Amino acid sequence: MLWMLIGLVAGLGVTLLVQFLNKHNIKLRWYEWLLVGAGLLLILFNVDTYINSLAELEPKAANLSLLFLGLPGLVLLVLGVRLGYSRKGGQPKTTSKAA
Amino acid sequence: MAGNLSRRELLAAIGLAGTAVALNAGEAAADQLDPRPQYVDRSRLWWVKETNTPTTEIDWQTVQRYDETKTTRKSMPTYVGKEKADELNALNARVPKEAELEGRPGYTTKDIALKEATNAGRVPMSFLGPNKATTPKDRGVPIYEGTPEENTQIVMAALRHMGAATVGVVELDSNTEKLIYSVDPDGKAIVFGDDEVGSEDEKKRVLPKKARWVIVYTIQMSTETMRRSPTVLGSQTTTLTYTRQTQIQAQLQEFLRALGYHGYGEAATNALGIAPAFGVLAGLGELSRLNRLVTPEYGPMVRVFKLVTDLPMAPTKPIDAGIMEFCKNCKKCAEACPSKSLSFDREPSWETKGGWNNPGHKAYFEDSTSCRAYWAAVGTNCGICFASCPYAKSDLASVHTLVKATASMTPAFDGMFRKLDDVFYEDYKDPEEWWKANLPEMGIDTTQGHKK
Repeated sequence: MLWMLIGLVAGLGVTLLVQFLNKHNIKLRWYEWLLVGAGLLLILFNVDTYINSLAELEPKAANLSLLFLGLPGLVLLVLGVRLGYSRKGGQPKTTSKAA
Repeated sequence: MAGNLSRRELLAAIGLAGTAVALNAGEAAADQLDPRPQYVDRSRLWWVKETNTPTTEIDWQTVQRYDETKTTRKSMPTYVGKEKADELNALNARVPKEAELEGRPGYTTKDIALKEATNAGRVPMSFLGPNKATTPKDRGVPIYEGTPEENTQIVMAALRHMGAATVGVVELDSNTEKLIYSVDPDGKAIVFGDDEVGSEDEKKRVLPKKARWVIVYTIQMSTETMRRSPTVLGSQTTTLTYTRQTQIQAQLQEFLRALGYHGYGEAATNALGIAPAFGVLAGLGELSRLNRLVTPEYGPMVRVFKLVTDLPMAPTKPIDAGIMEFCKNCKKCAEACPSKSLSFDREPSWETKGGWNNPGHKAYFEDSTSCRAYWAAVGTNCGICFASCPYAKSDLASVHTLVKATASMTPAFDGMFRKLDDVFYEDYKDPEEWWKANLPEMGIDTTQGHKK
């Protein structure tokens, strides 16, 4: 059940990310996708570790997982998107204006 | 509305659904691809490798049958002198009372009461069994007959249903017979006889040569409880497990009787044969720095039991899950041991530490006298080494599987895993918090190690 929820959340997250990239007309290079993928994987792993460590009555392990897994995951994810964003100059698409 | 979906929105929705389906489908496919035959315990973890020889080196020429009364449980005065043993016994009796009076956490009246309670309700243990179930002859039907593989399968299923955690089988031969005690804890000799059925008198127990199979099984202990050790509260998970075993053994003996066979059990705690040795050969785990069995599923959080039967069974193989290799690098239990009774050597040794060890295999032999002396000092058993073991973890979080599976494949990260275990987990927990923890039945997760 937990993994089904994680799957749904991950699907939603990836969808939103793709929409964000399209909206800002950002084309990520392969290594930026690698960073984003690694970041997402770490965040997913962190969700599993955090929730289940609490279920295991290990709050210390749960909290430390945020530092050791969640934070690096977030950094990688943001870094991947940010690299593409800054290269593009962060300009949103102007399709609506053109129409 | 569905009819108004743009191409992008449609693709997004498909992606969302696909992610969830793929995750569940992958899990189902992994189950179907499991190539192991039906008679082997299918719930074994995927990263546990079956082997032909255990990770413990054995010199069968040196191994001799062992007299159980030589353990420190029975022979402490022989090893430390009668005066010292008496002193330790007196200390062992005095400490819990003093601790209860002062209300020491883990020794309070409610903790003592729980210990007394879990000690209650034991079924009498016997070599020959209760012998109350009807036999096929009583019922006027032929005895049960299956292939050895089927027999192993049904015994595994029955034992799990009765409350055992994992089950294995060792076939007795001229070597493995040496792991049956020469003398039981109560001083009765165990001999092999030519009779069709086993027997017992005032001096000896006779195992018929026809009974060639040793059923070895583990019963889980509560990690969450033992992490309150050394206290009376922590010790009662051991007590509870022994109490449960008396019932499980009697039920197994009756199960075999009702099939038309015999089950020769342990007449007392730690009787019949050397539990860790049979556990290793049955593939329930590996020998460890604790000089006890560490299992892939529960780490050391089990007690190991055995029963000899004449029901023909397919033996199970020893395993290599990287546990012995992990122990070489870890040493956490040895560092945590307050009496420094465990070995700090990197490699296991052929050299025993004293008469409480049985020579003939390479192990991390322990100083059982200093261990026992510490038990007396705390007025209960200890268990710190069990609770501190990195393998003594629940398996809810995937990280445990990742760590154990990696350790089973390469020892390269063992040192790092040990350090992370130090950082992430506390070895000792507050006994008072145990009473508020809302633990599952018996403090154990019966699905642990069996999740698909």
